[in-house]
Amino acid sequence: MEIKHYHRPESLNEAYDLVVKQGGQPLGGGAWSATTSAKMTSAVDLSALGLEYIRAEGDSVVLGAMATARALETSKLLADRYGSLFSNALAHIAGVQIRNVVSVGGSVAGRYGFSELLVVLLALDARVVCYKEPACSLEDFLRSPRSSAVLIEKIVLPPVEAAAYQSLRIAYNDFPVLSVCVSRGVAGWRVAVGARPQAARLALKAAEILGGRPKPDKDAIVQAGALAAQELTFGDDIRASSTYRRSICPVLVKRALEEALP
Amino acid sequence: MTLSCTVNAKAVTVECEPGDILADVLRNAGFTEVKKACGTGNCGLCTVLLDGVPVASCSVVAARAQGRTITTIQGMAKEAEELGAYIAAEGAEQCGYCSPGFVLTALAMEKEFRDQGIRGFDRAAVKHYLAGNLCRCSGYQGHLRALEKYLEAQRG
Repeated sequence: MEIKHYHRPESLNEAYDLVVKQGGQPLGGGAWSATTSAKMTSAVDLSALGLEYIRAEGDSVVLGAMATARALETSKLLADRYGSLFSNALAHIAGVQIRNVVSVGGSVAGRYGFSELLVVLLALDARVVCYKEPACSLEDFLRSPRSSAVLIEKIVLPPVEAAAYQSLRIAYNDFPVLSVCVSRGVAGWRVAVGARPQAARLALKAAEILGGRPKPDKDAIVQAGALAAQELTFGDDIRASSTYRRSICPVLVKRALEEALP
Repeated sequence: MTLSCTVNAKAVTVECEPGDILADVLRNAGFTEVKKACGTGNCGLCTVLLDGVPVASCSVVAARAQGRTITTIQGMAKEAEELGAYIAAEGAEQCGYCSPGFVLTALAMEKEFRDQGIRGFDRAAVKHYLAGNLCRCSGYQGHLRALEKYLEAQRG
């Protein structure tokens, strides 16, 4: 990676000026720094902003943009609020050495298709808070143009009644072939599918058929899986074909729902 | 740019480019015990402790180490030698290429487990923690036997 000018601001105001007003490029976890050939005219390192926190704010949990995947995986607060959801989903990202580098904000900003974290955050109906911008849903953020100059400050997670993550992967710490996360909150069920291999998306029809019932019947669960496979698009890559991904989608949706049932 | 940090308890100041990778900067500064293999953050060979936390130094921009503390395997030579003896006794060192990263990660694991009150050998937890350290020749069974004996010995 080539960096012409490197900045490490110590305040959000300074970082905002560098990123949003002057067009600098945020440097989050930076896990891609070894493999990217990107040339950054102005890199804005976010590591001195104190954004590594994971904290409770009322019923919500707030993740600072620089909290690492490993911190989320081992967080007692997240385990208390969401059970084994985060540890299950994040434990297979490469090794500990990379999970100590990967950041929440970087994963969100990158909109990575393979991201285990994105599918979880989307199912939880996370809100993305960019500095000096109104908060928006992750769903909207993922659909916004990549060219938007924003400084992601934190991610806010609402409480849920239940949630579960399922994935299929070829090797223990490879990217998933497909990942599914479901959650049930005050507005009912949410079903998110990631690694399609495009970025995670919600399966709205699947969620609709589940309604707000805490314990949908077996037929509804099977239908939800089938609907998710029908309504979403799937693609081919080195790990699997679109046909294969579509065929395993109902299985993972069913497993996730069964795991999340009371 | 000028990078100042602490490596193995000694103040180090080097000149580097802002986009240089930590593994390269450390090696160029003479810390050749930091090995580099895959260069993608997947093999664990280049592991160093950054403020006590294991990171893949091939995936960290060196500039980010400004003012921070880095520990390479030489900085834990005594502990590494002790664990290395267990590895050698189980025939797990084989070609030895993965050993620097493997040993340093295992030592970080031992400390992390100890801080969490986990003592002794938990096979699943050990396998999970070390999943990011690849070995081409041993099949890992020797490593696990060595770690079981080492961790049980640490428990006392």
